[in-house]
Amino acid sequence: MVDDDRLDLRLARRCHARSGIARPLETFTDGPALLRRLVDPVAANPGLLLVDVRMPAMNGFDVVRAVKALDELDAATPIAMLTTSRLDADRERALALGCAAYLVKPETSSDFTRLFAGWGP
Amino acid sequence: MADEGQEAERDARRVRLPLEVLQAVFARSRVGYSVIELVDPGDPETWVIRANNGAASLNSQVDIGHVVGQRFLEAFPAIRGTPFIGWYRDVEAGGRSMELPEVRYGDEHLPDAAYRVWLEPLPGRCVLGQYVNVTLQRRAEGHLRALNASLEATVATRTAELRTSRRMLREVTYAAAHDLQTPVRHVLMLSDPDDPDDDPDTLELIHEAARLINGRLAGLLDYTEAGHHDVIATFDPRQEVDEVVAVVRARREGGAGRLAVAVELPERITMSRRALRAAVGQLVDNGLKFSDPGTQVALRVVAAADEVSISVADAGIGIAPEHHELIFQAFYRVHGPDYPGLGVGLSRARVAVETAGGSIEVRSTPGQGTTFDVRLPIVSAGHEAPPES
Repeated sequence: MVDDDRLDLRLARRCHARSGIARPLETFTDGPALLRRLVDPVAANPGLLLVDVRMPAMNGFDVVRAVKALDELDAATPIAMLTTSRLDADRERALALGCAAYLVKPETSSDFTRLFAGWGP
Repeated sequence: MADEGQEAERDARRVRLPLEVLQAVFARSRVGYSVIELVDPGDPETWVIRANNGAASLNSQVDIGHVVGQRFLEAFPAIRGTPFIGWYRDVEAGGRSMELPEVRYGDEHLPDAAYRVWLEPLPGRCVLGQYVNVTLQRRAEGHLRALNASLEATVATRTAELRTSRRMLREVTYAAAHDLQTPVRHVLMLSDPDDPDDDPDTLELIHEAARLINGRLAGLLDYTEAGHHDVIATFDPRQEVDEVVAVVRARREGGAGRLAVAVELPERITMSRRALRAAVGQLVDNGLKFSDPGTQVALRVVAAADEVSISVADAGIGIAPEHHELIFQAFYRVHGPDYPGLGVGLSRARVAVETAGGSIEVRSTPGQGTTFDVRLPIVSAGHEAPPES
């Protein structure tokens, strides 16, 4: 998960832990950090990428474009936008870039926990 | 047949109207009238003025008593070379009235005059001419056209200004809502009674989010204030710059001597004090904040004839071209959480500068530093002290 808001990441980690799913959650505060992780040959391929839209310097769309261009990543890896933006333009842009989903950030912890729980075992 | 009879009857009535009666009517009129007898319609030299009224003589600047009975072309030599002669001939030959557009004579008799002329055939090879001087009307119309054009230009300018401020309002509202929504959502999640948790940090996190909301609201109020009450004042601009620089130095520099200041300003200046303070203060603050502690920031404030130029150059991290417009939007932070701040400084400077009728531009190469250029209009400047306004 990449998000410039550290508290969002912290809440996400907490909800992820509560959801009880076995897959680990890794968090990054900007796009370049995520990209460095993805090209790391010893790290495991992620099962899902959650990308914030409004980030400084490299926004979510830039991140998705850069990720899609990586040879190291399995092309089938789903990418979901996870954002506070409810703008139709942002949603359409994300889907046009090949995102599997466009999710508005949950407003309760239980919704956030369910988001992770729904991801898998 | 019946038509011919009516025509003859009308002619007969017209014939009975003596010229002296016409002259008496003309004398009371404000419209210029004259009757010209076309003795030989083909030869303008033979035409004679049979009647003329005071208004006609006034319009044509000719003594009425002088021209009646005179040859037309001798009384009005300026008529030669104008289309008039042909029109008189046409009216007599065609036997019908015609209204002519305004006529401009040469300047011998009728300097700077526009006339609307109407000609009517009279029996006995005479033509009645009616002249209305429309010079004033034409001048008024021209003036009105010019006024309309300038009014349209003003409306267009104002409309563009309104569009810009509406766009800015929309952008700022969106940015502010987005930046407030995130910490509010955090508070909601952390304090949800249906979803209690035993994390010992929860209260601290709620407090941090609330502090963030508070700071962002304060920044928003600050930004709102920047566009209001732009007052043109007369003051000593050197003292103003010194004060602002001292405040920023104390906050960011801590006596490190990183700021190089070059000021060439008059003793007194009349301009927007707020815009000068906001531009110098915010840009210097921004420059010191986004450059290495070991590098210099150069402030230059110079007055020209009608504007003050302010430039602030740093050797800092720079700003990529795609962010050059965005950095002026409220709450936009290019450099993320590593550089604390609300992101209102530059937008506040821009609002203050643009409200005062100035401009602000940025030149930057990432990794090599950034220069901001501001131009602020001066109302007046001098070395003598005018009365404080």
